[in-house]
Amino acid sequence: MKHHFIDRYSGLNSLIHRQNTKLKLLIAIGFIVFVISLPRIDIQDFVLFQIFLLVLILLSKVPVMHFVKNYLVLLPFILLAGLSTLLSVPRTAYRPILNGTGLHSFLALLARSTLSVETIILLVSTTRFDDILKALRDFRVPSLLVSILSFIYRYIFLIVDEFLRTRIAAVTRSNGRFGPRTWAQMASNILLRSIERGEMIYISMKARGFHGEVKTLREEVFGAKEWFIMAAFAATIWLLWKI
Amino acid sequence: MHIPDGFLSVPVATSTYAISGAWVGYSIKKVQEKVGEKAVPAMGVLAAFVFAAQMINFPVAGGTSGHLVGGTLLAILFGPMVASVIMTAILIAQALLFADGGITALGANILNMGIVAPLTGYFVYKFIKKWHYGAAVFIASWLSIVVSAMFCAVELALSGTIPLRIALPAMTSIHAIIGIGEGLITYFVVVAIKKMTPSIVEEAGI
Repeated sequence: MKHHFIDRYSGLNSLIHRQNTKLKLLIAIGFIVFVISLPRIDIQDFVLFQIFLLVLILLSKVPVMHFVKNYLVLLPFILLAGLSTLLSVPRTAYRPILNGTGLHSFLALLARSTLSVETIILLVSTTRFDDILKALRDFRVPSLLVSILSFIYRYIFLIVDEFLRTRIAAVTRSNGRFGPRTWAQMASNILLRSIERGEMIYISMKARGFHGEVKTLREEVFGAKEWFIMAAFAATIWLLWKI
Repeated sequence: MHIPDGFLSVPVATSTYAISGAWVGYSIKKVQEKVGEKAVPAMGVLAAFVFAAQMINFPVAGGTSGHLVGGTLLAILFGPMVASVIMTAILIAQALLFADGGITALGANILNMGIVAPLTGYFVYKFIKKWHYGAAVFIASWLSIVVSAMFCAVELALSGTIPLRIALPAMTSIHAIIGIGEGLITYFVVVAIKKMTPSIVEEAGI
């Protein structure tokens, strides 16, 4: 079945793919936090940051279209939410953006969310998901949460398949006309099967020595090189903003 | 209802992170005490299930579409704390894999959909259950969507992004419609599960 839309490019090999996971995670989150908390963001800042991200995207060998497609899916929601800023000038504006008119705050909103979305897509399409999970675990995210995340990732493909198969079965039997009742019956069927499957998986994992921790074959070291890259990134972003 | 990055001010983002972190941390501790690691795979598969169900959009009036949030469904079946933990994992996965919902807005999104929704749903369900079971499930899940949309509107207003007099009516009315889909699907799913394996619905405890 087709589900290329999930995590398609993290297996590529590029300069960005080869970097340390924790480093990438820290830089990505750091950059987003920086962009979000800037007191104001001008067109010039946006363009410079955008060029910077574009260089990274090109280095990563992930097709630019992948970013465009993903971004276009999210754009309507961002626009819809942002549109109401355009209609009104918030009196209690937290950040007085440019001269404080609706259009400018709308553009700033758009700029901030665009840069953040691109950063996240870049992070996820250049890093294996289990490496991210391991990094999260090293950052003291509770093991229960990380385990559930690893299960989501492992079983999402199976369950999506099951959903698609069940839907095809329902469509062929009903000529495509089924209401919420059938939908719910399908869903609960899959839910019950999932619970059963979960129990069986637990038994077999237990038999193989599972005790709640994520394990990956690769061991990554966060050394002097990583600290240096991080400092270089921070300096570059700071400079781009100061120009 | 997933708030993207850039829509929340720093104080709102950090305080929602603090609230969500505290509640989810407490829930994780409680869930681990009560059910232990035995529940991990079951919760994981459930999370994957809700994650998949959220990808299926159902049409809402006016050309827009909505999808299941699932907070109330999980809360009715497994209790609000398990629901919070599972919803948190789902929201993190969505923020990472689809960039749906921002990283800095994660605290707010967890608060709205992973804490407020299951808690509202759970207590409304508990309260009306004795009166009429089906109505309880429907109203609980409908209300959970509306209330979390209200929280979302208040967070956006506090951030100075959208004034409350626009955000609150807009968010509430849109989600009052989307909530009908949530209510119907939750109702049918709970009823179908009750028919197939009644034990699951009865033993919801935590």
